[in-house]
Amino acid sequence: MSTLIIPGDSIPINQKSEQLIGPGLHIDLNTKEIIPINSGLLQNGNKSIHIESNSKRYIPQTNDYVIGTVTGSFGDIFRVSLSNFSSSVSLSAMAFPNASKKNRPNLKVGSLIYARVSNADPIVDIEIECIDPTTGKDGGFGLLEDGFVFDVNLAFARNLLFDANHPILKLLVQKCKFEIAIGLNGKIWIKTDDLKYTLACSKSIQNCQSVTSTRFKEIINTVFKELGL
Amino acid sequence: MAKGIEVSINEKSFVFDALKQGIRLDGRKLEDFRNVDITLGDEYGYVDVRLGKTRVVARISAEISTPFEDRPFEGLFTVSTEISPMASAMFENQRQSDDELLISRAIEKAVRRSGALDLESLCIIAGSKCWSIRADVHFLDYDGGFIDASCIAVMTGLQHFRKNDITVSGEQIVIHSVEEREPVELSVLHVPICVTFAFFNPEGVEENIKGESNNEIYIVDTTLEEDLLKDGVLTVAVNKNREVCQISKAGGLPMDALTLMDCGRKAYDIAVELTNQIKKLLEADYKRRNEGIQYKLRAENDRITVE
Repeated sequence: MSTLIIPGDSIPINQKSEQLIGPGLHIDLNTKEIIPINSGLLQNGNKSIHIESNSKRYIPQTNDYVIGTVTGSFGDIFRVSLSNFSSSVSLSAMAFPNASKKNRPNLKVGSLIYARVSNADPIVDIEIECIDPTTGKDGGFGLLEDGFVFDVNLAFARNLLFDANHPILKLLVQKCKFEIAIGLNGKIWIKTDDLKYTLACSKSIQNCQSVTSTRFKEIINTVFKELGL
Repeated sequence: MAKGIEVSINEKSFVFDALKQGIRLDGRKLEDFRNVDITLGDEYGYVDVRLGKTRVVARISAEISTPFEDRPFEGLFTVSTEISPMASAMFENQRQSDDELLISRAIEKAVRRSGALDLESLCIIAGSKCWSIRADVHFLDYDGGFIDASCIAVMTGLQHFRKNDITVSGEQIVIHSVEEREPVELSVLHVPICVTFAFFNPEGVEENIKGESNNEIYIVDTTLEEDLLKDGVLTVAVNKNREVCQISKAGGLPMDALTLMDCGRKAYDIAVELTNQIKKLLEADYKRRNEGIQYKLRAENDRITVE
């Protein structure tokens, strides 16, 4: 169930149930009142409640999956840029599977990495890591080689990452096989065997982000046709 | 704090590979100019130019002032190009970056120094009164091609602008309002159009004397993404009379003389196309302004015959 909420609305919430407060909602510590601070669709699940809305600037949150560009390395720390015109975050050289002082990951300036935000405390530097904390293995994180990266809006990226049955990916799979990494910072990395297919996939995803799902097929077909595929 | 646009190695190699195959990210051919969308305002001299996502607004205004002492027979013409962070966060307030300086200089050179506007026609009383024409260029959104877009905007604006009619009797000047007398257009001598070429060097080998590894690629009208990856840039301003008004190539990849000729020719084709587009637009605007009830009710109609 989802209703449109704007800041100042009262939240229809069951006070007895235990629910996690997600993005877009704020608890006034004195009155214990829940106040919406964003406008968007209220997502009221069993265990959690949050407001789904789109925003322009990406603000890192713990456990977000992100795609970043390495901008430099200082000692054991790599600086990684998650979005243009905002502060970079740090990636420790030890935050890789099997990393040690001797076995250092080889990341050049400009390399793309897929990582998880491990610490998003606003007071200290934001940290990301390329390791799955539950298994200690890479878990799909790490260096992204070749392919192409492009920007989409933040809500769309979130949608695409959390919805495993998203119609776009289902439709694209019928056209070609591809590898994809979706970053919640609004970046999507895609790689196929052929440059034209990569471009077609990226264009399709970009063009689909602002239309309803009924038009996806039509858009994907036109994009592929334009590139002669 | 990293403040800027970071381009990854992946993007760079992808763009280069695509260019080698003759593909650009936005689906254009290498030598295609983006579609130029020009809108004229209700006021004279207001032009809104859109080049893809790039958006530039030019506003022409005129006032009466005193000419320079060393040039008593000429009016004044200034182009103000200040890029604010509104266009893109890469431009900072109150501080001019090298890019901004280059953009301002290129527009200045193409429009002002090429003598596109006849300054002598702006003289009212030699040495004491002249028209001062000012072109304010506002940059609203940036996706590459600021020089090209603002050149189009200023040139269209100058042709569209009408200054108030004046009567001179001795040292006295009477400025007639628009209602009183039809305002007069500026005397624009020619229309320079800037076309910017970007050079890419996918091989990574630079040669001063062009030889084996001469595989540089040049493309017309770059978007921001291509702009960040380019190895060299060339701006050619040319008018439809085949007169080259400026060639500016500030550093970057050394290029072949033949390539330069080629670029000149391409720029000419684009300039002709754009000049015609501007001309058609101005004619349509003139027609729109001079039809309907307002036109029929004018006092002038009594004296001229209208069928």
